[in-house]
Amino acid sequence: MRKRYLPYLFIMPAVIFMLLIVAYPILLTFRSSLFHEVLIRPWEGVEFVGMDNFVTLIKNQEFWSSLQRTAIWTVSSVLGKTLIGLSIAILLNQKFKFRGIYRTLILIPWVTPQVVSAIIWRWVYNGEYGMLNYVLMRLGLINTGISWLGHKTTAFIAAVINDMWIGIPFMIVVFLSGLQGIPNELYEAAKVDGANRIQTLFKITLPQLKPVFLTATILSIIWTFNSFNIIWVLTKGGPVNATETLVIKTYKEAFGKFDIGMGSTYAVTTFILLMIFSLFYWRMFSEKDEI
Amino acid sequence: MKNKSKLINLSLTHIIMIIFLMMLLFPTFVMLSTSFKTFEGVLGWPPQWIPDDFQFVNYINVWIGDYQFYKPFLNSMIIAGSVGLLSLLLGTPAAYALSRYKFAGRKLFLFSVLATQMFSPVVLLVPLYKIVRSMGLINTFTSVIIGRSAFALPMVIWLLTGYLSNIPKDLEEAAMVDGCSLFKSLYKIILPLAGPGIATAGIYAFIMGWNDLMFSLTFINEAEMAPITLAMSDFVGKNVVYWHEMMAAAVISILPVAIMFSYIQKYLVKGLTSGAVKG
Repeated sequence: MRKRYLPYLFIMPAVIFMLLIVAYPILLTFRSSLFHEVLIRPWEGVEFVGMDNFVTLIKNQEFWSSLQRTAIWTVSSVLGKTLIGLSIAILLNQKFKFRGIYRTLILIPWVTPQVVSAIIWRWVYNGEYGMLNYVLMRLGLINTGISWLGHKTTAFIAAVINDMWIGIPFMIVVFLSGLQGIPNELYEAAKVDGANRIQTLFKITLPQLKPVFLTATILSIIWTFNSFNIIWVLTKGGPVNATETLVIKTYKEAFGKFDIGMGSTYAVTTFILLMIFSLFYWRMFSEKDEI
Repeated sequence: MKNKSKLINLSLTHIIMIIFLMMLLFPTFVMLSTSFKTFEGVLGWPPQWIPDDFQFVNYINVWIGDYQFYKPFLNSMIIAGSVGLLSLLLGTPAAYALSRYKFAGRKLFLFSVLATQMFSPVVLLVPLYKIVRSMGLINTFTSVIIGRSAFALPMVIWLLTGYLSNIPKDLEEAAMVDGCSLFKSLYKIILPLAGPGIATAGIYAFIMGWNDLMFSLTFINEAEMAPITLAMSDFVGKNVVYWHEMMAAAVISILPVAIMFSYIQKYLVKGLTSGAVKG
C-alpha cells in the first residue's frame, strides 16, 4: 500500500517547482498574448483584444523575415556542425598516434561559455585590429580589413560561425561514441565480402549510426533555434535586423519595447512552433523504444 | 603496396586534423595571446602572434583593477552553485522515482520534463518578470537562480534517471530485508553509489548557471549584482574596450568550467546519448 503513493512523494517537489516556475508562467504568456499592454505606456491601460495581436503578427513583414532568418540560421548552422562533426569523428575513429591529444584539444570550444565565446569572436572579427583580417590579408584572400560585424551578410555568417564553433565539439564527441558502438564484426564481414571504403561508409557506418545521428541533430536543431547568448553578445540582432532570429525578436519586443502583448504573441508563436517539433521528436522515438 | 596506402591515409588524416585544429583553436589562441599583451600591443598593426614579453599583470588588473572582475566572478559562483544545489535537491528524488517505480502519470511527467528541455526561457520570461517584480526580487540572485534552475532541472532529472537505472534494484531491497527503512537504505546505499552520477548532474546544472545570460539580463540591472556573462557583455559594449584585460577575464571565466567539465565529460556524453533515448 505504501508503495502506491511513494513515487508521487518523490516527484512532488520537482512537479510543484515546474508548475510554479514553468507551467503557470506559460499560461500567463498565452493570456497576455490576448491583451494590449505596453509597460512604458501605462496610460493606454490593459485591454482585451482577442486575436488582434496574432493578426498583427501575421500581417507584419518583420515576423515573416524573422521566421525565415531563424530557419536559415538553424539549417545552416546545424548542417555545418553535422557535416564537420561527422567527418572529424570518422577520422578520429581510426587508431593512430596522438589521437588522444586531438580528442582533448577538440573539447576546448565546448568548455567555453557561449557569452565568453562571443566576446572572443568579437575581438577576432574586429574590423581595425582583428586577427581574422590579419590572417586573411596574409593569405592574400582580402586586400583591406573587413568590418565583419558591421555589414548585414557578414554579420550573419559571423554569428553562424560562432555558433558552429561552440557546437562542433559536441557533435564530434557524440558521433564518435556512436561510431565506437558499431560492432567490429560488421566491418570484418564487409571486408570479407570485398566492400570498398565508400561502400562500407554508406552500407554499414551511416545506417548503424542512425539513432545517435537523430538524437544529436534534433538536440542541435532545438538548441540552435533557441540560441540567444551568442547573437545577443555578438550583434544584439543587428546590424539593422540581420541576425534577429525569433528568440531575439521576442526578447526585444518584450524587454526592448516593453510591449507585453506583442512580446507574448511572439513567445506563444515560438512556443507552438517548438511544441510541434517536440511532439514530432517524441513520437519518432517512442515508436521504436520501449519507454 | 598495402602499407603505402596506409601511410598515405595516415598522413592525410594528420594533415586534415592539424588544419582543422588550427582553425578551431584560432580564437582560443587569439584569446590567450591577447591576454598577455600590453594595451599598445593590442592596438598595434601588424598584430603579434606571441607578445614579446608576457603581461601577467593583466590578470591582476582585470581582477582588482577598473573592471573589478572578482565581483562578477563571485556573483556567478553564488548563482551557479545555487542552481547546481537546487536542481539536485529537486531532481534527485524525482529521478529516483522514475528509475524505480512504474506509476500512473510517469510518462506524462517524463514528457513534460523533456518538453521543458525544448523551448527557450524567453517563452515564460514576461510573466516571470512581472512576478519577480511584484515580489520585489529584481536585483536579487534568487530570481536568476530560480529561473535558471527550472531549465537545469529537466537535464538533471534526465541524466540522473539514466544513471540510477543502472544501479541494481536488489541492493536497497536487500538492505530493507535486513531491517533498514527505505530512507535509510537510500541514504546509506544508493546515494554513495550514485555519487558520480549526482556529481555529473550537479556540475552540468552549475555550468548552465554559469552560462546564464537571459535571466540575469532581465532580472538584474545593478552592476554590483551582475554575473560574469552580464558584466562582460556590458564591458564590450563600452566605447573603449581594453581587449587585453577582457581576454584575461575570458580565460578566468573559462577555467572553472574547463576543470569541472574534464571530470564529467565522459559520463555526460553517455548520458546524453544512450540514457537520454532510454529516458
